[in-house]
Amino acid sequence: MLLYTFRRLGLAVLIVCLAMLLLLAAIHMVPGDPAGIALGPRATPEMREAFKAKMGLDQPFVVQYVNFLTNVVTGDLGVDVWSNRPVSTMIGEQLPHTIALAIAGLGWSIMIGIPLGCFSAVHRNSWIDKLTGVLSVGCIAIPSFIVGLYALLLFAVNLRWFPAIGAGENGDLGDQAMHLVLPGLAVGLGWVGYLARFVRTSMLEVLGENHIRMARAYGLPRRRITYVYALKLAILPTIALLGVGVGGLISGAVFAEIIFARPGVGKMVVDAVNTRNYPIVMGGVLVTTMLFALSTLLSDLLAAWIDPRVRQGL
Amino acid sequence: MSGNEHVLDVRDLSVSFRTARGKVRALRHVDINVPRNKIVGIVGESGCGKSTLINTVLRLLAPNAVIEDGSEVIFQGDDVLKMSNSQLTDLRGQRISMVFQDPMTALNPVISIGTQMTDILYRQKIPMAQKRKRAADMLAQVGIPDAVRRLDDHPHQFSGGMRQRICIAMALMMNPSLLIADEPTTALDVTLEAQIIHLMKELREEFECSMLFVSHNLGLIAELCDEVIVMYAGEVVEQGEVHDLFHRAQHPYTRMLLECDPARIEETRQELPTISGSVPDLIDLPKGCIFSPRCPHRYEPCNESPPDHYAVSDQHSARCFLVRDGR
Ligand SMILES: Nc1ncnc2c1ncn2[C@@H]1O[C@H](COP(=O)(O)OP(=O)(O)OP(=O)(O)O)[C@@H](O)[C@H]1O
Ligand code: SF4
Ligand SMILES: [Mg+2]
Repeated sequence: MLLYTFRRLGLAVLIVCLAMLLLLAAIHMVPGDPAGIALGPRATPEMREAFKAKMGLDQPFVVQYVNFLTNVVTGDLGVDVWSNRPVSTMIGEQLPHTIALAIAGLGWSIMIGIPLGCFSAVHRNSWIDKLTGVLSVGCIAIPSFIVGLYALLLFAVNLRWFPAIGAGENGDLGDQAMHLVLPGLAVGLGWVGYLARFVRTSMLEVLGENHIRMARAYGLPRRRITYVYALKLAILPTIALLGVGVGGLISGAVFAEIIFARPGVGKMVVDAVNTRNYPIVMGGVLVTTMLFALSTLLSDLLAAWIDPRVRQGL
Repeated sequence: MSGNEHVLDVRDLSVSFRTARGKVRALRHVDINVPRNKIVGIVGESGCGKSTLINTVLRLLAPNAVIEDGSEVIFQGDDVLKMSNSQLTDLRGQRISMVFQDPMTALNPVISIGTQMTDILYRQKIPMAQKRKRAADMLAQVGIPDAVRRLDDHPHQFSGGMRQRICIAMALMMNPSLLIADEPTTALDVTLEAQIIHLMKELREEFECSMLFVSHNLGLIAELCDEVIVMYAGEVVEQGEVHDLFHRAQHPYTRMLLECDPARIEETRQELPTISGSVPDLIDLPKGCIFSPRCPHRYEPCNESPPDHYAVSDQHSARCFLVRDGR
């Protein structure tokens, strides 16, 4: 297990390094001269050159990449083109909100999606199964910003159950949690549908396996068979899916951040893209990639921890 | 014979499967019984309904199965077919237990052997340590070395033969009155098969339970069983004590099973011989005797109506007009 953890960690680092390479290449391919935009139309060519030199943009690509890598390792993500504040500090302020939102979205989808999928599988072809099927597809099809807008209108504006905008008082955890409920729902609802369908499929597959029939033949209680004997196996592909899915969840969070006027990395990056604020874009995308690599890493480790065949085969 | 001497009495059991092609009539008017402390063997070609029969006894049939009206499965005086879900949970594993064909897939791969075994004891209100001790004792009894330490191992850490031993140990955890084994050795090689059969014989003495033993293998049946039931295409065609059946087989199907090599009856290893022709379509059945399309002795009455069970001797009957007409 330890060796596996290290190997898996190495893979995660490799993924991040590759992502950084692509990121750097992508920045170079996007039209628009960063120096020109940063300094405005009246800047002289000399000023632009000086700016490029300061940002390291005149270096060969390989050198830029190596500098990028070493800077990241030392925690230096450059400075904001406009305010000159360190990007790492700025991201550090936004990141907790993004992570909290992702976890809230994940929480919604896991809490509703997994039991729903189990229930559908156990009562397959019942009217409840068919209804959840339709609802799930509905959840998947509705874009998260629509969910966000309607949730905002209904629960925050009309019913006033939850606060409408912002991230809540600093330091007041209860208030912050209340501010997470609706954005979390907006981000997670699509995943409720995905998970319900996915869990249903893998659950049905597992429920048809021999050892489940055997457990039934031994008279084990139905609940124990469903939620321990079957779910422990059926959850394995779901964990892998979630590991990859968190990436999508974080990018989907941008809409929720805008609608609910929440701080977050996604919103920061979108703003920075519009002004070609390279260090912020690169830092934001890089951190998102790291989160993605981290979540797949965690999901793989979790799956290995649950499945003794993997755990002991390592 | 009074019902009291039978642990299991299956009466007039008919089971069909609903399919897109129509109703598959997998079992038709099956009457069998398992006397107390006896081992009853069921033989027959693949698809003749052996698994359907034992799955009915534990009510583990596929969702598309229909048990026809008039069927009865009486276990120790109670009709299994009329049981509620809670009664069934009470029956399974506790009063009737089962060993399946394929030990490689019969155990849950992500739950430790010890947990799977102690879970079966959930009905007993005893401390966990005591349950684990019972599990370890059972493992030791079926020949798993170092049983206490191996409780925390998972199925993939055991070989096929070991896993089948574990399955047998699990089946015996609650001291059931009836043990059903559906081809428990088909997935194993000859040596392991002999070991498992030896083990089952030993355990039979030890636990005093009746057994319903399904097999393709006539040699195993001859070695292990007291009584034999021969099934063909969803019907019982001949039944009787093991000696009668192997030495005075009446039904042409049974004889064809045996005749392929009479000498091999005494051997432990014998595959079910292949018989020319194939099992009839269970959706569209022949009008007369079910075996008539393949029967070399077919004569006039065979195509008219299905034969009844005709007694050969006290304990021995066959479903063939030859017996009725004394030919
Ligand atoms: N769920 C099902 N739906 C439709 N037909 C089925 C179903 N289960 C079994 N059958 C059919 O019922 C018949 C009896 O099957 P069964 O599994 O009882 O045979 P078997 O004697 O156990 O065979 P084997 O020796 O191969 O295990 C077969 O023709 C089979 O195709
Ligand atoms: S009844 Fe006729 S067809 Fe059927 S087995 Fe006997 S002889 Fe053959
Ligand atoms: Mg079978």
